[in-house]
Amino acid sequence: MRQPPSRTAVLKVTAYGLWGGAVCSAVVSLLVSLRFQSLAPGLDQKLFLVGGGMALLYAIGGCLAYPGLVFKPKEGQPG
Amino acid sequence: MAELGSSDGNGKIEIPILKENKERKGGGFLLSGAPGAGGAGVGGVGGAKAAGGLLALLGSKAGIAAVVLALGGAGLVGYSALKGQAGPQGAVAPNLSPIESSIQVRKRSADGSRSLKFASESADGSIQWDPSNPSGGASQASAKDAAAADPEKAGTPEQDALQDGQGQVADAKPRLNSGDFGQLSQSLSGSGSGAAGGQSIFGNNGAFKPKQMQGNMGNNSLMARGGLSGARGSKLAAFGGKQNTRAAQRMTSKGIGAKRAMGQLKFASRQSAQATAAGSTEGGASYAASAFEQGKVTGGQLDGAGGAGLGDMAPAMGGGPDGVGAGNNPTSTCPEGWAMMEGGGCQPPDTAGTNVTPYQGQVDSAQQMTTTALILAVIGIALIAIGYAVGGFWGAIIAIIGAIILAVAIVMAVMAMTMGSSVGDQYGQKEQANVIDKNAESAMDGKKSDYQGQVGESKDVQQSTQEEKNATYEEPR
Repeated sequence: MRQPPSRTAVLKVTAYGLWGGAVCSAVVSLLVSLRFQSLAPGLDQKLFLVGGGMALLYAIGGCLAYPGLVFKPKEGQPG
Repeated sequence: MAELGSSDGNGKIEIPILKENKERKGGGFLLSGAPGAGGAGVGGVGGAKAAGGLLALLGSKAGIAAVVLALGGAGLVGYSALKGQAGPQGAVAPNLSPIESSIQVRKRSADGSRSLKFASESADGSIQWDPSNPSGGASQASAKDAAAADPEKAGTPEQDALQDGQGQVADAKPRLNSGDFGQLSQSLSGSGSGAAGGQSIFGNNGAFKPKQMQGNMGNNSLMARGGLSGARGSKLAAFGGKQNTRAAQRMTSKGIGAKRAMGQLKFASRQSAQATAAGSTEGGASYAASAFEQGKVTGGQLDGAGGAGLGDMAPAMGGGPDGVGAGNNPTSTCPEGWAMMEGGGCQPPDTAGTNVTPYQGQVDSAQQMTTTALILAVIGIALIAIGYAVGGFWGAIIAIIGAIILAVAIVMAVMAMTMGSSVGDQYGQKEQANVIDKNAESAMDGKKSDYQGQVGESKDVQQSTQEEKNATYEEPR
C-alpha cells in the first residue's frame, strides 16, 4: 500500500504551484490587458491590476506555504 | 388845360401841335366830323394819349396805308372764318395713311348681324307686339314707302333685312309729339298710341315678359343640354355652385384602424408612395395629407392618380367617372429592393444589422474569459487530483502544474468579473454585470452556470418586437 505524501511535500507542491501560478497569472494578466486595451478606456489597466494583484497574492501565498521559509513546520507531523 | 384839337365848324380836323409831353397828357380830343362840336372838349387824361397816337398815325401816308392793310387783313380773316363755318364740304380730308391699320374688318353678311339675329331668335315670341296697332303698321309701311321713294334715306339691304328681323324696332319708339317727356312713360306703360300698342310691355298682361324670356333662354340651344353639337350637353351651367357643393358633400375622410405604430407607418409609407406616383398635384396632395392624417379621403373631386378630378364635369366631357376619392392605386410600386406587403405597404429588405452596443465587446470578452477559466479550472483540478493520485515525484509535478493552471483560471475568472462590473458601472447594465459575475463564479468552481439573467422579460421583449414588426392596419369601411 502506497503511503500518503508527507506534510512538507504537500506544502512544497502547493508553494511551487502558487509561485508558478503567480508567474502565469502575471503573464496572462499582461496579455489580457494588452488584448482588451481597446475595449474600454481604463479597462486594460484595471485588468492588469487585478491579474497582477492575483499574481502577487499567489507569490505571497507560495512564500507562506513553502515550509521553513516563513513558518517552520513542526517535526514529526505527517503531511 | 392845353387845347389839343378843335373843329372849325366845317368838319375839318385841325391837327394839334404837339410841343410838349405835358401838354399832351392833359389834353382831350375832339370827335372828328361831329357837327356842332367845335371847341367842345371831351375826354380825359387817359384818352388823350391813344387819340393822339391814332391821329398822329393818320397824319402820315404810311400810317394810312398801314391802317388800310390792317383792316384788309382783318376782313380776309373774318371772311375765311365765315366761309369755313358754312359747311364741311370744302374741307379737305386728312391723310391718315401713316396710321392706318391693316386689320381687315369683316363686313356684315347678307343675312345681317349674326349676333343680333341670334338674339332675335332667342327672344322669338317673348316680345309680342300688338298687331292691331294701326299706327304702328302704318308707320312701318310709311317708313318703307319713304325709304323706297328716297334712296338716300333708305338703308342698305342688310339694314332692311335686319329691320325686318327685329320687328318694329324703329316704330317701337314712343311718340314724343306732345313735347312733354311725361308722355314717354305713358307711351311705354299706358294705353298710348305708341308702337308698343295699347298694352304695357312691363305690365302683367303685357307682351314683355322677362320670366318668359328666361324660360325661353333656358330652352335655347345654347343653354340646353345637348344643344352644342358634338358635346354631350353643354356644361356651362354645371360650373355653378350646386355641382361643387354636391361633390364636396360626398367627400368624407375615414380613419384607418391601426393600433400599433408600425401599422400606421406602413399606411403612411403606402400613401407616400401613392402620392409620388400620383399623376395630378391634387391627388398627390391628398395622398400625402392622408399619410399624416392616418385617414383616407373618400369621394369629392379628387380622383385617383391621373383622374379628371372635376366632379360632374368630367363625365360630361367624356372623362372618367365621378371622383371616388383617394382610392387604392394599383400602379404604386415599392422602391428597389423592397417587397410589397400583403395588405399594402412596402417592407425594406432584410439587411445584416450592425450591433452598435458599446459594451458588447466587454461582454463578449468576459464570456470568453469565463469559458476559458472554466476549462482551465477543470484541467487544473483534474491535474491536481491526478498528481495526488500518482504521488511521488511525477505526481508532485502534475499537481504543481494543475495548481498553476487553476491559479490562472481563477485569475481569468476574476478578470471576467472585473469586466462585468465595468459594464455595470460604466453603462448601467446591472443585469448584464450580474450575469457575468454569476458565470465567472461558476467557472472558478469548474461548473457551467445556466444563469442567463431575467429570461422571462427577454422573451417578452422579443415577442413584442415580433408583434410590432408584423403589425398592419385595417382599411376604413
